[in-house]
Amino acid sequence: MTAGIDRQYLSAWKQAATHAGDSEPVQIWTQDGTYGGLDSGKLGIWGTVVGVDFDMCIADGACIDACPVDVYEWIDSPGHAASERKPFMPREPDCIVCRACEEVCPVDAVLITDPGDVEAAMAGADAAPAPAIAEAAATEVEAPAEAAATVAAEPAVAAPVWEPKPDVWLQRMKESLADADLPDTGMAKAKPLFKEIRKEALDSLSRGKEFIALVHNDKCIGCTQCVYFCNFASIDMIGWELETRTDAFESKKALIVEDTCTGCTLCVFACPVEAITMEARA
Amino acid sequence: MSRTEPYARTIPHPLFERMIINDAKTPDEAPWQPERQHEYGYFPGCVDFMDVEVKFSHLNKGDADHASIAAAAIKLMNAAGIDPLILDMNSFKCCGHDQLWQGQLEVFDELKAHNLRRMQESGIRTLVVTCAEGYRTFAVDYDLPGQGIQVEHITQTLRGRGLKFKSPEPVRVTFHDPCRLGRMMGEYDAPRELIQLVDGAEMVELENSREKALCCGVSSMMYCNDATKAVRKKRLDQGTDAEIQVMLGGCPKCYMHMQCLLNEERMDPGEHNHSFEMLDLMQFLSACLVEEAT
Amino acid sequence: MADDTGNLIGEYQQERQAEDAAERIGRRTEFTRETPRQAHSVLEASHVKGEPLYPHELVRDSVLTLYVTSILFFLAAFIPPPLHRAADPAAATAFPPPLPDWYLLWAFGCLKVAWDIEFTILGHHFFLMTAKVWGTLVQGMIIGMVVAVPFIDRALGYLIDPGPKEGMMDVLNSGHARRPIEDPVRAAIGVWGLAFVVMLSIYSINANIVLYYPAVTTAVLAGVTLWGPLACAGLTYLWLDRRRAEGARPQSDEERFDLYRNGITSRRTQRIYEFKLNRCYQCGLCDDICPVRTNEGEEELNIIFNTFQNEHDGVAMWSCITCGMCTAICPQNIEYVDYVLEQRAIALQGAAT
Repeated sequence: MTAGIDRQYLSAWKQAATHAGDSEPVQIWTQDGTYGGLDSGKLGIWGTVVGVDFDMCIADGACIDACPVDVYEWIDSPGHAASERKPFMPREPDCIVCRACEEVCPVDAVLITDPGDVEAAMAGADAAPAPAIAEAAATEVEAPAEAAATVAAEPAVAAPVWEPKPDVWLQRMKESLADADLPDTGMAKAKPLFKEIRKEALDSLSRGKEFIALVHNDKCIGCTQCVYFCNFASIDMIGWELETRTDAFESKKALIVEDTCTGCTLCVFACPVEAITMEARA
Repeated sequence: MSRTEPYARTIPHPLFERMIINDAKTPDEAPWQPERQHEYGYFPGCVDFMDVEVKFSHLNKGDADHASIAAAAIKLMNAAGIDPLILDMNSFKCCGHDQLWQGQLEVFDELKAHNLRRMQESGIRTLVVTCAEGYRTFAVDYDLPGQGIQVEHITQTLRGRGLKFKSPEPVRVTFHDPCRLGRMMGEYDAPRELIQLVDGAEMVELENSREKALCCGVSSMMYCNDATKAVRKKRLDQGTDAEIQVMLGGCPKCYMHMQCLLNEERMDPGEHNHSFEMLDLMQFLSACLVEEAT
Repeated sequence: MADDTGNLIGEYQQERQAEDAAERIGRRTEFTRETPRQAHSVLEASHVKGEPLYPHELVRDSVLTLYVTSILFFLAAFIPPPLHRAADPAAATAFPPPLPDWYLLWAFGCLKVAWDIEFTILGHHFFLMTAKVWGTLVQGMIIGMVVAVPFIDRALGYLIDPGPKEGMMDVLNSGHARRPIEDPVRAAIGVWGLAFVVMLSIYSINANIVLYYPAVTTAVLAGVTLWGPLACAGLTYLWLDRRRAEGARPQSDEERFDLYRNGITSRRTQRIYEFKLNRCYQCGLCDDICPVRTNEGEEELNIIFNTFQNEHDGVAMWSCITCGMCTAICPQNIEYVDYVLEQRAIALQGAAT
């Protein structure tokens, strides 16, 4: 429904040229394999892991502001119909795949592909760039991860596991609506509003490798949003005994794993109660 | 020891609320005219926003689908012979219920002024809403009946229209009364009437129902903390005690909050005891609707 | 994240706590709210604070008692009462006749008004009771009616809302006390009763009155006793109805907003807007049923109590989930939920300029 960067460009488009980056060249992709230069008016998609459709780009600049690791910088594109400058990615290898730039682009001209998925994507696999955790864990039920904070014992953080909810009636409901021809309810209005907020939020957060997220336990409500959004499987849920006047039950609260946190600020943004803040690493 | 700090946290959900506040402050003076006259108008409200971008998407990996509430309501209204004008979010703004209850009167007044103007331009006679909070806001805080537009909750609109429902299999359901529909507006019977119409659904009452129904615990996106979580868990426990298979809500917010707790519990497979589904009443009825052959 | 309400609320709470700690005063609150549920109560409310029995009421009552006692002592010391010869019960023809104390004159009046109940139907003579008997019985009936008012009230409540009740819902809408201005009919009946008692008392001393004012005969007094109370009742009803009409004018949005901003300064307006929390008689049902209260582990998060005491340390006000169970169960139909909303609005008005 939304126009935007061609999500299959890694397999459908052709590698046309390269442009020098800080440490590695940046690949340029076009549909027919030809590339006429920065002043040609037709630029194609630049970048492999960090893909930006320069023909769609309107130089809003949100991506540059959003990036916590400073991948982008401006490059001039004189005479281009959409804008006279573009966000070039000379530090593409630094990308931490937080997808912040993807979220804030007002014209959806950015596509981030995890470096591990690039090969498969170029071979034509149908890789939708969703957070890997949700897809994997939704279908597997391993031995439950220990609820206690014994994370340090394991070399890699076990992905949080959960059993899927029963969804018999949900599926029935979806089927019943599948072929109904229903009018629009104005959903699309939310997207630009959201992007604006996202941009404002990113402007105000400190992010990057020198920072680490910190969860305030008195505020955390255990809703697991942050876990979903962390692209680095860096958040664990630990058990917390809650006592109320009539009930005692175990709830969960989030805990950031220090080793793998990259300071991308996605969890801060995802938290509905602002229980996560960015602190400088010691 | 006297508690001097609030319990955990007031939300309001920073993103969701900021979006609405920004939207409220953005003037929208463009005139709007519906193509033709409609008697009924349907206001979907922020239900879709929650689905699309507002970071409840972990609930929306397919297992909590808010936009379908609006879709189901439209489908049911069409089946009942009503052709509503969709008061969509392109021309309307959030009803402002959350802002009002959080005390942000200025934001609420701006939203109200905008929406009232649009309501008059729409030319409808009756406003139908699927959200209990919207229902109360339009009926009481906007005082639409005082301005010539009747306000109805979708359950009130659909009852008595001769709709037929059949459940594919025998199922035990219950209805969770939303605070805004039940205690604040006094409507307990319309949803139950509709559930009784479903052939094959057995309706049971939870231990606390009608006036005594337990709140879902997060009013106007204000409060989710240990205490209110206990209320919500108690509510779900009552569902288990009543041995239901589906719990039906009357408000997308109740639906969302129950789903959130159900989702959190899935983190520890087998350690919780809530194995029923949470659905909005509209979704359930849509799945059970017996379409008349035209 | 800058400029979001959540942080604002937190800051406001801290500021308020600091202020309150410095000077512990209750805050004036003004609000108006018109909802469909207030069909019986047409006035909105502002601030008349309730006070606890100890120490406020006890101290006040003690002071007044001692004051009155001291006056009595003073009078007893300097103006001794005149004492004549003892009353002679055999002096049946004493004129003017002996009278009971003033507070029992009405009973005396009942006896005077009474007549022997006897009538003749179709040549048969029926004698029911003497004047003395039914004159005495009537006094018992009057006292009985006064005692029965709460029960009558409750029965009326059941009439108004006869739905099936279970558990705590028994108290809903029954035994609902109302102020005169909210129920002019009952107030008029009450005024009639009072006036009737006063008139009866005056009637009972007809013999003494006619001594000084020959024009005021027993017949005149009888007429006044019969029609006077009715007139009083009528006037009361009309006056209350008129005042109710003044106060019941629904407010426009600008007016309501102005109240928040400028506060209610006019005394007359303050009298019209009574504070509804004043109705509370501390039955404790709301406290028992509040889901936040019953589910937290400490004793102090008492939302209802804090709102009643007008102590907004911020916790209670923002902890309320506005579910409405307290309002639903309150026998006085106090709208706590609306009150919380207004408080939040006022709080943010103050903080978010």
